[in-house]
Amino acid sequence: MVSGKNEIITQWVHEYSNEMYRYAWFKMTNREAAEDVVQNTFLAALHSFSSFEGKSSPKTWLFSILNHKILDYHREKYRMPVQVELNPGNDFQDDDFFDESGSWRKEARPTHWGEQNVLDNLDFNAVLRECLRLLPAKWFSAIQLKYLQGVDGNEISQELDITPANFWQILHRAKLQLRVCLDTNWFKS
Amino acid sequence: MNKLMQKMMLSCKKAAALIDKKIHSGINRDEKVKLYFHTMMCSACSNYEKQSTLIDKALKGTHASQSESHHDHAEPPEGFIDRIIQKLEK
Repeated sequence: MVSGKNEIITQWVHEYSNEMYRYAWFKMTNREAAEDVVQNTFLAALHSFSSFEGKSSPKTWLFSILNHKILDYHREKYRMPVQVELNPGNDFQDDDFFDESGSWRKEARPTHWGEQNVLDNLDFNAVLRECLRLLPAKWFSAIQLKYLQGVDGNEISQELDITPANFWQILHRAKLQLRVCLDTNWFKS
Repeated sequence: MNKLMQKMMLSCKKAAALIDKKIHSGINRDEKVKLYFHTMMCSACSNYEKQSTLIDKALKGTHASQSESHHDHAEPPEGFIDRIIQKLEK
Protein backbone atom coordinates (compact mmCIF):
# COMPACT_ATOMS: atom_id res chain seq x y z
CA MET A 1 0.00 0.00 0.00
CA VAL A 2 1.36 3.40 -0.97
CA SER A 3 2.10 5.44 2.13
CA GLY A 4 0.11 8.62 2.68
CA LYS A 5 3.05 11.00 2.53
CA ASN A 6 4.27 9.70 -0.84
CA GLU A 7 0.88 10.36 -2.33
CA ILE A 8 0.73 13.84 -0.86
CA ILE A 9 4.20 14.80 -2.02
CA THR A 10 3.58 13.39 -5.49
CA GLN A 11 0.55 15.61 -5.66
CA TRP A 12 2.72 18.57 -4.62
CA VAL A 13 5.15 17.72 -7.41
CA HIS A 14 2.37 18.04 -9.96
CA GLU A 15 1.03 21.17 -8.38
CA TYR A 16 4.16 23.20 -7.60
CA SER A 17 7.25 21.82 -9.33
CA ASN A 18 6.91 23.90 -12.53
CA GLU A 19 6.65 27.11 -10.60
CA MET A 20 9.53 26.04 -8.36
CA TYR A 21 11.64 25.29 -11.41
CA ARG A 22 10.98 28.74 -12.92
CA TYR A 23 11.84 30.38 -9.61
CA ALA A 24 15.05 28.37 -9.31
CA TRP A 25 16.01 29.02 -12.90
CA PHE A 26 15.78 32.78 -12.50
CA LYS A 27 18.02 32.61 -9.48
CA MET A 28 20.57 30.22 -10.95
CA THR A 29 20.27 30.56 -14.76
CA ASN A 30 21.51 26.99 -15.08
CA ARG A 31 18.90 24.43 -16.20
CA GLU A 32 20.61 21.38 -14.74
CA ALA A 33 21.26 23.06 -11.42
CA ALA A 34 17.66 24.29 -11.30
CA GLU A 35 16.31 20.79 -11.94
CA ASP A 36 18.63 19.28 -9.32
CA VAL A 37 17.69 21.81 -6.70
CA VAL A 38 13.96 21.25 -7.21
CA GLN A 39 14.43 17.46 -7.11
CA ASN A 40 16.45 17.72 -3.90
CA THR A 41 13.82 19.96 -2.39
CA PHE A 42 11.17 17.28 -2.82
CA LEU A 43 13.52 14.62 -1.48
CA ALA A 44 14.16 16.78 1.56
CA ALA A 45 10.43 17.34 1.94
CA LEU A 46 9.89 13.59 1.89
CA HIS A 47 12.52 13.03 4.56
CA SER A 48 11.35 15.73 6.89
CA PHE A 49 7.64 15.41 6.16
CA SER A 50 6.88 14.81 9.81
CA SER A 51 8.17 18.28 10.66
CA PHE A 52 5.71 19.89 8.23
CA GLU A 53 2.58 19.24 10.29
CA GLY A 54 0.52 21.56 8.10
CA LYS A 55 1.71 24.65 10.00
CA SER A 56 2.12 26.73 6.84
CA SER A 57 0.87 26.12 3.34
CA PRO A 58 2.73 23.38 1.42
CA LYS A 59 3.82 25.96 -1.12
CA THR A 60 5.40 28.20 1.54
CA TRP A 61 7.16 25.25 3.12
CA LEU A 62 8.49 23.92 -0.20
CA PHE A 63 9.70 27.34 -1.32
CA SER A 64 11.45 27.84 1.98
CA ILE A 65 13.40 24.60 1.50
CA LEU A 66 14.05 25.56 -2.12
CA ASN A 67 15.42 28.96 -1.11
CA HIS A 68 17.86 27.36 1.31
CA LYS A 69 19.12 24.96 -1.32
CA ILE A 70 19.59 27.77 -3.84
CA LEU A 71 21.51 29.71 -1.21
CA ASP A 72 23.73 26.68 -0.55
CA TYR A 73 24.37 26.38 -4.26
CA HIS A 74 25.57 29.97 -4.54
CA ARG A 75 27.70 29.67 -1.41
CA GLU A 76 29.33 26.61 -2.89
CA LYS A 77 29.96 28.29 -6.23
CA TYR A 78 31.39 31.32 -4.53
CA ARG A 79 33.85 29.21 -2.57
CA MET A 80 35.06 27.25 -5.57
CA PRO A 81 38.49 28.17 -6.91
CA VAL A 82 38.20 30.33 -9.98
CA GLN A 83 38.20 28.20 -13.09
CA VAL A 84 39.76 29.32 -16.32
CA GLU A 85 37.26 31.60 -17.94
CA LEU A 86 36.14 30.56 -21.41
CA ASN A 87 35.90 34.19 -22.44
CA PRO A 88 38.72 35.98 -20.61
CA GLY A 89 37.54 39.25 -22.10
CA ASN A 90 34.49 39.15 -19.87
CA ASP A 91 36.45 39.12 -16.64
CA PHE A 92 36.86 42.84 -15.96
CA GLN A 93 39.40 44.26 -13.59
CA ASP A 94 39.24 47.76 -12.14
CA ASP A 95 41.76 48.85 -14.79
CA ASP A 96 39.19 48.32 -17.47
CA PHE A 97 37.01 51.05 -16.04
CA PHE A 98 39.56 53.52 -14.65
CA ASP A 99 42.97 54.81 -15.73
CA GLU A 100 46.08 55.20 -13.55
CA SER A 101 44.91 58.51 -12.15
CA GLY A 102 41.59 57.01 -11.12
CA SER A 103 39.49 58.76 -13.76
CA TRP A 104 36.93 57.00 -15.91
CA ARG A 105 38.31 55.58 -19.13
CA LYS A 106 36.65 57.16 -22.15
CA GLU A 107 34.83 53.99 -23.20
CA ALA A 108 33.58 53.23 -19.66
CA ARG A 109 32.50 56.73 -18.75
CA PRO A 110 28.80 56.83 -17.72
CA THR A 111 26.74 59.09 -19.94
CA HIS A 112 23.14 60.07 -19.36
CA TRP A 113 20.49 57.33 -19.60
CA GLY A 114 17.36 59.00 -20.91
CA GLU A 115 14.96 56.10 -20.48
CA GLN A 116 14.22 55.53 -16.81
CA ASN A 117 10.91 53.64 -16.95
CA VAL A 118 12.54 50.31 -17.65
CA LEU A 119 11.83 48.40 -14.45
CA ASP A 120 8.53 46.94 -15.72
CA ASN A 121 9.77 46.42 -19.25
CA LEU A 122 10.02 42.69 -20.00
CA ASP A 123 12.63 43.11 -22.72
CA PHE A 124 14.81 45.18 -20.44
CA ASN A 125 14.58 42.51 -17.76
CA ALA A 126 15.56 39.89 -20.32
CA VAL A 127 18.65 41.94 -21.24
CA LEU A 128 19.46 42.34 -17.54
CA ARG A 129 19.25 38.59 -17.01
CA GLU A 130 21.52 38.00 -19.97
CA CYS A 131 24.02 40.51 -18.57
CA LEU A 132 23.88 38.68 -15.23
CA ARG A 133 24.59 35.42 -17.00
CA LEU A 134 27.73 36.92 -18.54
CA LEU A 135 29.24 37.82 -15.18
CA PRO A 136 32.12 35.73 -13.90
CA ALA A 137 30.66 32.94 -11.77
CA LYS A 138 31.85 34.33 -8.42
CA TRP A 139 30.36 37.75 -9.10
CA PHE A 140 27.07 36.29 -10.25
CA SER A 141 26.87 34.28 -7.04
CA ALA A 142 27.66 37.39 -4.99
CA ILE A 143 24.81 39.25 -6.67
CA GLN A 144 22.39 36.38 -6.20
CA LEU A 145 23.30 36.01 -2.55
CA LYS A 146 22.79 39.70 -1.94
CA TYR A 147 19.41 39.94 -3.60
CA LEU A 148 17.96 36.62 -2.51
CA GLN A 149 15.12 37.45 -0.19
CA GLY A 150 15.84 37.80 3.46
CA VAL A 151 19.61 37.40 3.38
CA ASP A 152 21.55 40.13 5.16
CA GLY A 153 24.88 41.39 3.79
CA ASN A 154 26.77 40.83 7.02
CA GLU A 155 25.29 37.37 7.31
CA ILE A 156 26.58 36.58 3.83
CA SER A 157 30.08 37.75 4.73
CA GLN A 158 30.13 35.60 7.83
CA GLU A 159 28.95 32.58 5.91
CA LEU A 160 31.58 33.01 3.20
CA ASP A 161 34.29 33.77 5.76
CA ILE A 162 35.33 37.01 4.05
CA THR A 163 35.25 40.54 5.32
CA PRO A 164 32.15 42.60 4.47
CA ALA A 165 34.53 44.97 2.67
CA ASN A 166 35.62 42.17 0.35
CA PHE A 167 32.05 41.30 -0.40
CA TRP A 168 31.08 44.88 -1.23
CA GLN A 169 34.13 45.15 -3.48
CA ILE A 170 33.02 42.19 -5.53
CA LEU A 171 29.47 43.50 -5.63
CA HIS A 172 30.83 46.87 -6.79
CA ARG A 173 32.83 45.30 -9.63
CA ALA A 174 29.81 43.28 -10.67
CA LYS A 175 27.73 46.46 -10.75
CA LEU A 176 30.38 48.23 -12.87
CA GLN A 177 30.26 45.44 -15.39
CA LEU A 178 26.48 45.19 -15.37
CA ARG A 179 26.31 48.90 -16.05
CA VAL A 180 28.55 48.60 -19.09
CA CYS A 181 26.57 45.61 -20.37
CA LEU A 182 23.24 47.42 -20.01
CA ASP A 183 24.73 50.56 -21.50
CA THR A 184 25.88 48.68 -24.59
CA ASN A 185 22.90 46.39 -25.03
CA TRP A 186 19.99 48.55 -24.00
CA PHE A 187 20.54 52.25 -23.58
CA LYS A 188 22.82 52.79 -26.52
CA SER A 189 21.07 50.60 -29.08
CA MET B 1 45.66 71.77 -7.88
CA ASN B 2 47.74 71.89 -4.67
CA LYS B 3 48.53 68.80 -2.63
CA LEU B 4 45.95 69.53 0.07
CA MET B 5 43.15 69.80 -2.47
CA GLN B 6 44.37 66.65 -4.19
CA LYS B 7 44.15 64.82 -0.88
CA MET B 8 40.61 66.07 -0.30
CA MET B 9 39.33 65.34 -3.77
CA LEU B 10 38.16 61.86 -4.51
CA SER B 11 39.19 60.14 -7.71
CA CYS B 12 36.31 58.83 -9.82
CA LYS B 13 37.45 55.32 -8.98
CA LYS B 14 37.07 56.02 -5.26
CA ALA B 15 33.85 57.92 -5.78
CA ALA B 16 32.26 55.08 -7.72
CA ALA B 17 33.25 52.63 -4.96
CA LEU B 18 31.75 54.94 -2.34
CA ILE B 19 28.55 55.25 -4.36
CA ASP B 20 28.02 51.51 -4.23
CA LYS B 21 29.10 51.32 -0.60
CA LYS B 22 26.49 54.01 0.14
CA ILE B 23 23.79 52.02 -1.63
CA HIS B 24 24.62 48.69 -0.02
CA SER B 25 26.06 49.24 3.42
CA GLY B 26 26.10 52.97 4.12
CA ILE B 27 28.92 55.50 4.41
CA ASN B 28 30.04 57.82 7.21
CA ARG B 29 29.61 61.57 7.24
CA ASP B 30 33.12 62.32 6.06
CA GLU B 31 32.65 60.03 3.08
CA LYS B 32 29.23 61.54 2.38
CA VAL B 33 30.61 65.06 2.19
CA LYS B 34 33.51 64.09 -0.06
CA LEU B 35 31.19 62.16 -2.34
CA TYR B 36 28.71 65.00 -2.51
CA PHE B 37 31.33 67.50 -3.65
CA HIS B 38 32.72 65.06 -6.18
CA THR B 39 29.37 64.27 -7.82
CA MET B 40 28.51 67.97 -7.87
CA MET B 41 31.46 68.52 -10.15
CA CYS B 42 31.65 65.23 -12.04
CA SER B 43 28.78 64.40 -14.38
CA ALA B 44 30.14 60.91 -15.06
CA CYS B 45 29.98 59.93 -11.39
CA SER B 46 26.67 61.70 -10.96
CA ASN B 47 25.38 59.51 -13.80
CA TYR B 48 26.95 56.46 -12.20
CA GLU B 49 25.08 57.15 -8.98
CA LYS B 50 21.73 57.31 -10.79
CA GLN B 51 22.50 54.25 -12.87
CA SER B 52 23.78 52.09 -10.04
CA THR B 53 20.64 52.94 -8.05
CA LEU B 54 18.50 51.97 -11.03
CA ILE B 55 20.35 48.67 -11.44
CA ASP B 56 19.85 48.00 -7.74
CA LYS B 57 16.09 48.48 -8.10
CA ALA B 58 16.03 46.32 -11.22
CA LEU B 59 17.90 43.50 -9.45
CA LYS B 60 15.49 43.64 -6.51
CA GLY B 61 12.62 43.46 -8.98
CA THR B 62 13.85 40.32 -10.71
CA HIS B 63 13.93 38.59 -7.37
CA ALA B 64 10.59 39.86 -6.19
CA SER B 65 8.60 38.30 -9.01
CA GLN B 66 8.19 34.57 -8.60
CA SER B 67 5.99 33.86 -11.56
CA GLU B 68 7.45 35.46 -14.67
CA SER B 69 6.51 32.95 -17.27
CA HIS B 70 7.29 34.99 -20.36
CA HIS B 71 10.71 33.57 -20.96
CA ASP B 72 11.15 30.31 -22.92
CA HIS B 73 14.14 29.12 -20.96
CA ALA B 74 12.16 29.39 -17.77
CA GLU B 75 10.06 26.34 -18.72
CA PRO B 76 11.22 23.03 -17.23
CA PRO B 77 12.79 20.50 -19.58
CA GLU B 78 11.08 17.38 -20.92
CA GLY B 79 10.33 14.67 -18.39
CA PHE B 80 11.10 16.96 -15.46
CA ILE B 81 8.16 15.87 -13.33
CA ASP B 82 8.64 12.18 -14.13
CA ARG B 83 12.24 12.31 -13.02
CA ILE B 84 11.31 13.83 -9.69
CA ILE B 85 8.67 11.19 -9.05
CA GLN B 86 11.13 8.46 -9.98
CA LYS B 87 13.62 9.80 -7.46
CA LEU B 88 10.97 9.93 -4.79
CA GLU B 89 10.03 6.30 -5.32
CA LYS B 90 13.56 5.01 -4.74
